Amino acid sequence: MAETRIKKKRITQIRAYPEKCSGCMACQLACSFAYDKSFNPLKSRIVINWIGDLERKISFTEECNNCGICVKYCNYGALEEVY
Amino acid sequence: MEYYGYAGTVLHVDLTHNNIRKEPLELEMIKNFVGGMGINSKLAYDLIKPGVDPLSPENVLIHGAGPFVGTLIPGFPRNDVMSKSPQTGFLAQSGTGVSIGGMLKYAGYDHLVITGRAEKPVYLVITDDLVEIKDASDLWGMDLLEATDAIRSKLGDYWVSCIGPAGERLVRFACIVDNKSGMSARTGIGAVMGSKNLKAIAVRGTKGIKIHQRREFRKLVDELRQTIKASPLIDIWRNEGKVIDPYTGAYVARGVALTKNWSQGFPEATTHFFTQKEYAERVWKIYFACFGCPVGDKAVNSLRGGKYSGLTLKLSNPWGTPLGFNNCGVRNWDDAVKCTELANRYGIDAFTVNNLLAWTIELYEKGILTSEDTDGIELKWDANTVMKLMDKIARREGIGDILAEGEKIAAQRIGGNSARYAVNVKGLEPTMDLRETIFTENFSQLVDPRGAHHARGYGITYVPRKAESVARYAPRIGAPDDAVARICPEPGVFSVPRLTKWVQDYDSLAYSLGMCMRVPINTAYNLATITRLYSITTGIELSSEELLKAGERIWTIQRLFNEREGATRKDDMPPPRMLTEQVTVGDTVHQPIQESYIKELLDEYYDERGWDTVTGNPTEQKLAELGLKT
Repeated sequence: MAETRIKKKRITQIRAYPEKCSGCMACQLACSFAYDKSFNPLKSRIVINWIGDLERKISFTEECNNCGICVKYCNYGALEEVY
Repeated sequence: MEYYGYAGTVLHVDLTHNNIRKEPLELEMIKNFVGGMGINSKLAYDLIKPGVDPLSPENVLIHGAGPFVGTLIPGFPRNDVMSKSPQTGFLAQSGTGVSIGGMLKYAGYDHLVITGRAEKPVYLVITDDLVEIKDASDLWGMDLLEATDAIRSKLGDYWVSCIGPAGERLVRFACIVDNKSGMSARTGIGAVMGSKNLKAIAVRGTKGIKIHQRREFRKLVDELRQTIKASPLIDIWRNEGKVIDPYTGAYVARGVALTKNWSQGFPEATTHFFTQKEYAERVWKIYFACFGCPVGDKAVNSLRGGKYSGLTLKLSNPWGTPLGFNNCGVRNWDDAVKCTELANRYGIDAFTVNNLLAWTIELYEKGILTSEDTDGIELKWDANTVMKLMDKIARREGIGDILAEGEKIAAQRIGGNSARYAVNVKGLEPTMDLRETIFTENFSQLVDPRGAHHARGYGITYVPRKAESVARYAPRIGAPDDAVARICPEPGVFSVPRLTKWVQDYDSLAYSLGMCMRVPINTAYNLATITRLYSITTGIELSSEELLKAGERIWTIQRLFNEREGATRKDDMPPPRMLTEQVTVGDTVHQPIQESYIKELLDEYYDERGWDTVTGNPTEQKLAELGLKT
């Protein structure tokens, strides 16, 4: 899962649906595993924050290149690739 | 040594001397005890001296998360907490999936060992290599949920494991709650934390967990994710409490779960009082999940309408924990969620307290307790009584001070024949009755070192099974041919005690790696898959036989811990009520279990374990075989 092996897709944007997010962090785990070669969710390029007990906020760091690996590993339909 | 899967360090914090020490996680320890609960067991056995007062500085509190925790392996989120229990006097063990365990690993620590007692209230802040013991004077006295929020507003996005006022006041069944929802609830570890003047542990880690063979890891994990995601069980477990009817509803209909201190059936619990329809319409708000889990059976409850409208509560067992208060006569979702919220705020084990209070109300009904004993409060089977008594327990006021000691000690203080109605094993209350039928999950409650706990006996027999199914299942969890022949000695027959031994060994291994026992998860794994995952993840080559032997070693050293504290086979007997009273469930009457029958089952169990059938403890020969000879 080195960076160079990730097939570049022409994703223009990753659309987030925070109301579907479970906070499971699979996206952050997959992202850090791809780019840091270790499971390190706080170094992920996708960031999930709980706002209070009910709401979640999904954001992306400047390093995010829309590779879409977070979308692949989302178990709850909270992320979508936009072409 | 390069670590994969493991973080590689055991962090020791001595609160008496403000001393912090870091030691490498030894390979020999890993090979013998795997991680998480397993290594915690060895540390507890070595570090906790026999006979120590569980609430003294000499007791030790140990956190640990196994090598799969914090990775993308689906369904392995669990942190384990271990100590000597102030509730039972034996081994304390509890754990949760919504835990700080993964974050501790990201900070670099597989295990956290806390010893001594701070002079004044403190909390521990772990930021990667930096470990700080900070003043918690302003947090002491806060309820558990408030204190967690207060720490987060001070520190930012830290993961927080916290106790409430009950833990501070040494209520012997106080719990620890991680991130406001992960309950390490049982056996009173919150009181141990309180006895150390430790209000909370806050952790943030950015060191990462490496995997030995990344390509193979991703391939196998992808396969497992697809298998789990394809399960029709996902929707049932994830959404709107749909699991209430097929799971809880089945248990109450059969009479595995009872009400009013295990004295009455309550088959209409989920058809008339705690319906899934109302839960979906008025209570359930949104799911949440543990690390990387595709199931997501946790939920935020948010009451809509009713007297507690707007009450919002994150729970790892969102329907089951509130429903447990039916034991005290609570008969609606509103009161049940409110009682659960109060238990969480005080930091009290909700399962113990619903049993303890059901027992208390029954003692009052029988005249063993009177209003003179209860500070003038008339005890009834209702939520009002539960809330008043929980408040008194958390404050240790009046009758609450006696009840805060837990059933085992409170029965001695109350006297009379109160012990006759106390439903527990080793001092911990059960979650399943034994009078309907015996299966591995409820039988395991008798012999589990932590007391009446069912989850390390989780196999397949919680629903009725044919012997043929058991014969197909046992090899999947590692039982060799000769054991399968003993488990299924003739067509159509299987031995629950013999099967329980192999289920416990497998579950002990799985728990030590971090596995959750929810049905959609544990049905996706077997010993062969776990063995392959272990090798790919850690780079340490252990055979299936060696891993399962480690599971047996873990179970056995926990038993040795109890033996040192004086436990024998008499401590494995069911509570008196189950041995002497029949119970009616709808149209069916379940007869009491014959004592001679239970003794036969226990004999069979010890025999399968290679333990002494007279004492119920491991033999020298077995200890030598497991490398545990002392």
